[in-house]
Amino acid sequence: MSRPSPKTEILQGLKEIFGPNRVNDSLVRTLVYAQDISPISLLRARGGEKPVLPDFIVWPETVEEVSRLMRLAGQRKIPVTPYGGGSSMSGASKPIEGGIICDMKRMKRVLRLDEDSLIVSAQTGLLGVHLEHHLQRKGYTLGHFPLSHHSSTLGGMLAGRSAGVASTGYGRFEDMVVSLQAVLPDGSIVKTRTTPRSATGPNLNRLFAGSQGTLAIITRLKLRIKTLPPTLSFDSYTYRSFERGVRAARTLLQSGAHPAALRLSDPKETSQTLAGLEKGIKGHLLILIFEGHPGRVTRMMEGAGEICRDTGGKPRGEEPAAHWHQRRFAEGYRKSPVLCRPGTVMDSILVGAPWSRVMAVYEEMRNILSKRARVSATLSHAGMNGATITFAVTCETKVGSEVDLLQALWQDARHAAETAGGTFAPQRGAGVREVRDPAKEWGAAFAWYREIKEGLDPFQIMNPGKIGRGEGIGAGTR
Amino acid sequence: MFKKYHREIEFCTFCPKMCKFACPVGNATGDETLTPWGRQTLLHLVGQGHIEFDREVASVMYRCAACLLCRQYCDHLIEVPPVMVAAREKAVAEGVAPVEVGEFRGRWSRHNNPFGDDLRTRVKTLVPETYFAKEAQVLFFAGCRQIYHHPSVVKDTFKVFEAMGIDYVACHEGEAMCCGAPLRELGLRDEYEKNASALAERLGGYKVIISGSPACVYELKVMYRQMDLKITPKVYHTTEFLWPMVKEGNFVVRKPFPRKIMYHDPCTLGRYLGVYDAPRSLLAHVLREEMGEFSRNRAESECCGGYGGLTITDEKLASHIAKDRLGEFLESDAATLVTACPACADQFQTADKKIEVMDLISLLARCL
Repeated sequence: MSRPSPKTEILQGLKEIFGPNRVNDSLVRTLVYAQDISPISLLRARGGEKPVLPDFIVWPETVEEVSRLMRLAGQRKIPVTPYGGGSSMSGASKPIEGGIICDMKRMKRVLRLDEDSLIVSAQTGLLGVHLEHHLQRKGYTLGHFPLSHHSSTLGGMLAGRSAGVASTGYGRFEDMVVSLQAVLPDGSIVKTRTTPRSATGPNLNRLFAGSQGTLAIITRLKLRIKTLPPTLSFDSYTYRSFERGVRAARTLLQSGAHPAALRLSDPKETSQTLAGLEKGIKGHLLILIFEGHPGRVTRMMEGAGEICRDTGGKPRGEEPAAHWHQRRFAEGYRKSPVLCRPGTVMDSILVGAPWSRVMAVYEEMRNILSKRARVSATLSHAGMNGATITFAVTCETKVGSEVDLLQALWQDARHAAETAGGTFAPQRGAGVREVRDPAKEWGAAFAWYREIKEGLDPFQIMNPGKIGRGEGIGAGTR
Repeated sequence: MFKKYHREIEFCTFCPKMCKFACPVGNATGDETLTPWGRQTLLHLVGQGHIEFDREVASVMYRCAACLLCRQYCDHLIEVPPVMVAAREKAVAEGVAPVEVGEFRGRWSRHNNPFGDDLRTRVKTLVPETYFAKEAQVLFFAGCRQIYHHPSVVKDTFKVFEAMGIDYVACHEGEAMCCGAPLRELGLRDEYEKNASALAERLGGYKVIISGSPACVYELKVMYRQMDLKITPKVYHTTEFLWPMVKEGNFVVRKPFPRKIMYHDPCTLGRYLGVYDAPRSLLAHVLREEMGEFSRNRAESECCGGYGGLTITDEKLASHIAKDRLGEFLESDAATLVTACPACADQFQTADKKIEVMDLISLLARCL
């Protein structure tokens, strides 16, 4: 009798762990899981390009199953790609070397709400929007609203170091993590301690923040929450130039004003933001949202208003800000009508910079990108020390050349950002696209990551090809 | 493939999954393939020739509860269920539909309804004789599920009619006791059209039709008219029909309903027909305590899994969806779950036998 193929043996092993119904290796499933929603993947799909398929998809329901999966994958040296909402814009969950996709969405329970400590514990396959619904029913909020709010999971948010539209007020996702549980590539289950803060050593939660599934599968998170703010107030101002708006935003944030959200858009983006609003407001629009107890909100709004007017802002009232807030996830809807048109390219390129480099990044990026595309810009995710600018690009080209054009745009963008002192992927995992050369991006620190990676994942089975391309093992069943 | 639905398939395939969180099937299974994005992406891949339209693709198309929540969260108002119905028709035509669809067809052929039973005889035992074979302009269409699974609700409906002096209604009886909604949902187009034509002929003379089943109301009011069948546009759910008369003081509440209730908006009554206020107004009229609401209610109401043929092709999945929806009710202080759809009532009662599930009309009858 002939020996079963490696793939058959692995399938058998997976069925022993997950049973017959939570393992799938069909063409139908693997094709769907090989797609993602990054514009480059979508353009490739539109062009008829077939993606690299995973060999298997599994749906664990317990941490023990994840542990057994990792032990099996380690023994067989087969890649494992953790999969949450599949909402990465940069290919982070694409199984570019095949292997096993571990879809975490069956691990979606809210485990405990500690109302005294304001900590919620949940499994990482839970969608962020479902956690927020759960919390708001009980009078709380996580305050994390990334553009992928409706489709991303908690695990993906930490693995991608997600930042939401209210991050100015609530912080980034990694700031919300109190403790975590994760399964390492050798199958061991590790937990960090649930404590407000501990200085007994390095903060290991941070090790997994931004790891993009290359170090472990994060299975449980304890997160800081807040009580739902009793008041939400909106304000907006227009400026004669982006630079004046940037100055206002910086002055305001460095003065100690603490808006939940702050957003500055250039005229083109302003017209998109305010589409549907009757008032014909044009120009560089600064939107401010304040939350909290009424007295405090009033004081903050007054202080911020003074700064905005002193820096040349024309008051535009609450309506533009309220309109944006109501439609703050609408950007996602803009994509499909454009991307499904052959010969059209659309993407958004995010660059972070310290305040001292923000205008240089804005100018350099706009100059370069506008040679090939229509560009609009938005400043957001701002703090005391800097901000992110999102450049939305749209352009037309010959049918069949869309991928080439998009790649050329990204090459230009990388060059411009580097020249101006900005950094890529400030709000989301870099996946396989945004940072081609981490050694260049991180400098010598990339060697530390590699040593950690080799220590935890000696066979390089975890999400190969991400954070440093070409390091994957290329093994598995191929 | 599916030229008619090119826009729907393309828009969903190129969308960053904006409605995914709302899909009850995707949430219950955790399977990316079983989300609006996944299903439409699959059809896109079929269109590109990457994959055959085979039995597995077909089985994905049958795993949609047609709840229309995806449209609720779509700026482009894309409706996925009609695309799924087109795909199911193709699956039937190509012989790759799930085996349950063939079994259903067999049951249907016995008595022209999903239960394979003589519902014409059953309905006669539920409704006072005076409501049959009478000259009337208003017809009550009980619907097959109501007759078969909820005979007490049919009885209660006439109890309410009698108490309110509504004696000008005739009760439907005939060969076709089912509107055919499951046939359409399962892609059995030929059988659906045949049944619809026969039923429309029987219903043609009435000026107003009422039914306690929102799925029936939707078929008669919307789908039949799309097929140019001659049927009155005045088709109402019982709650819509009753509320104006109750508001006028035609319903005397002798015993206000004593327990705290929570109301579930059926997908078909809500998102498909836009009826949200009539059931709430009726409840407010007869309840002693304030009504409880799900946090996701009205147009955002989550699905019970009872529509779209899902109970026929994947009963376990449909029940899982009902359990997901019940979670909030079980956490609440409400004692009774009230709805206005027999399919929803079935789903919830099957998912949890210990809870009290009641049709709104039966609740009214208790207050007489």
